[in-house]
Amino acid sequence: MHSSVTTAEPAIPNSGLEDLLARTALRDKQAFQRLYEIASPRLFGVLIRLVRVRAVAEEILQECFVSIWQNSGSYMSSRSQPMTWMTSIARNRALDYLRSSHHKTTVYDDDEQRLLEIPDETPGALDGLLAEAEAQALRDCLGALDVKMQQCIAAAFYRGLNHDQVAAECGAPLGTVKSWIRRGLERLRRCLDGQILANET
Amino acid sequence: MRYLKPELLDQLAGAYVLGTLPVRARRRFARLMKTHAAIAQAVHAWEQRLTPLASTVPPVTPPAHVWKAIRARIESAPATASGIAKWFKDLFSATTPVRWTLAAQAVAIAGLAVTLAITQMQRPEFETFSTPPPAATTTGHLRLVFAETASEKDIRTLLHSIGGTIVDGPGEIGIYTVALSDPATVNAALTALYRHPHVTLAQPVSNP
Repeated sequence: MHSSVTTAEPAIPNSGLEDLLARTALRDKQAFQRLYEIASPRLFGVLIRLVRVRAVAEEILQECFVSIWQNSGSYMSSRSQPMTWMTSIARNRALDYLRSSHHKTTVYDDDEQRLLEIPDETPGALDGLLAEAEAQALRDCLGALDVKMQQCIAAAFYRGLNHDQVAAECGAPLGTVKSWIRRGLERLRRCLDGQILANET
Repeated sequence: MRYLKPELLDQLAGAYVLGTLPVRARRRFARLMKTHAAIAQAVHAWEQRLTPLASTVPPVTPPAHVWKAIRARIESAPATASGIAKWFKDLFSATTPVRWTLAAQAVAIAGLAVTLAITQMQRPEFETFSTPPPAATTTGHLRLVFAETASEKDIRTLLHSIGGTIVDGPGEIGIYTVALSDPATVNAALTALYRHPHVTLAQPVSNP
């Protein structure tokens, strides 16, 4: 493995990424390469955390960027920020993989897993890590949730765990975990939507 | 879609983006998203809400061979599919005869996976199913979703036991509308349905 792990990265300027995506849509390969250089570490970090096998994360990253190359023309800056758009592509690919029968036959390499350094997802781990300005509201709203709800949502988001897996991790009944996640998302939505309205008025 | 209330759509979209929708529900939801603007909009809204969480993950620089492979693929026509690429194509192309056969059987069962999520979201945490909701305003119609494990025979037997006939459905997420031969039996039917292992959703319909 020739990759390196860094611990912090400043927020990526959206205007630069939007420009690179626009040029990518015009089949500017240099712009696409620059986009890859800037965005791939973020996406690779997310993918490794989700699929937990580097070789698989590399393949999915490859698929993501081929998809970004092919679909950059459909990106709309008025609807979402570039990293949100690209991260959603990456997460969806990883989640589809995790939910597939293909994944069930994957043989996990313990050594690789140990390399991953998956941080815990306690509420404290969330604090102070949301670096981007637009994540401030999310941090506030997550912090307002019950601790169990935070943990369940974080486990599902970061590690791609399904309900059964979250329940096993939390040592809580499946129905209880489902309820925590459902109610947690409802509260999160109400809180975030309320903050948006407050900012607009 | 016509059966999908906005709040339910929002719940499903949140679960889709978070990744907790069961696998078949996830695939179906992804397909519906392509043709239903309301679903796409709800998913998009949840992506905006949750994706900033990803900024907390430490970046990891990928090895150089990944970019080389990407560059090779965008410069070649047609692109060479990797193992995962082939898998993705297989996942979303359900056109083989075997799959159509399975699909036909699945239609008979029609417990489509999204319904599992619907039920899980709608049922309270410690529901006993002993007390059906009031059905005073119903007109003898029920909204039903069958479990994935229910066979066609199971469904027929079940409907016969409550005097029900399917009058509509399955909707795009597997919801049937069932008319009862005797509208006065709505509460009794609901009580039986709530306890039934082959039913994942049962609701009275006010305006069929």
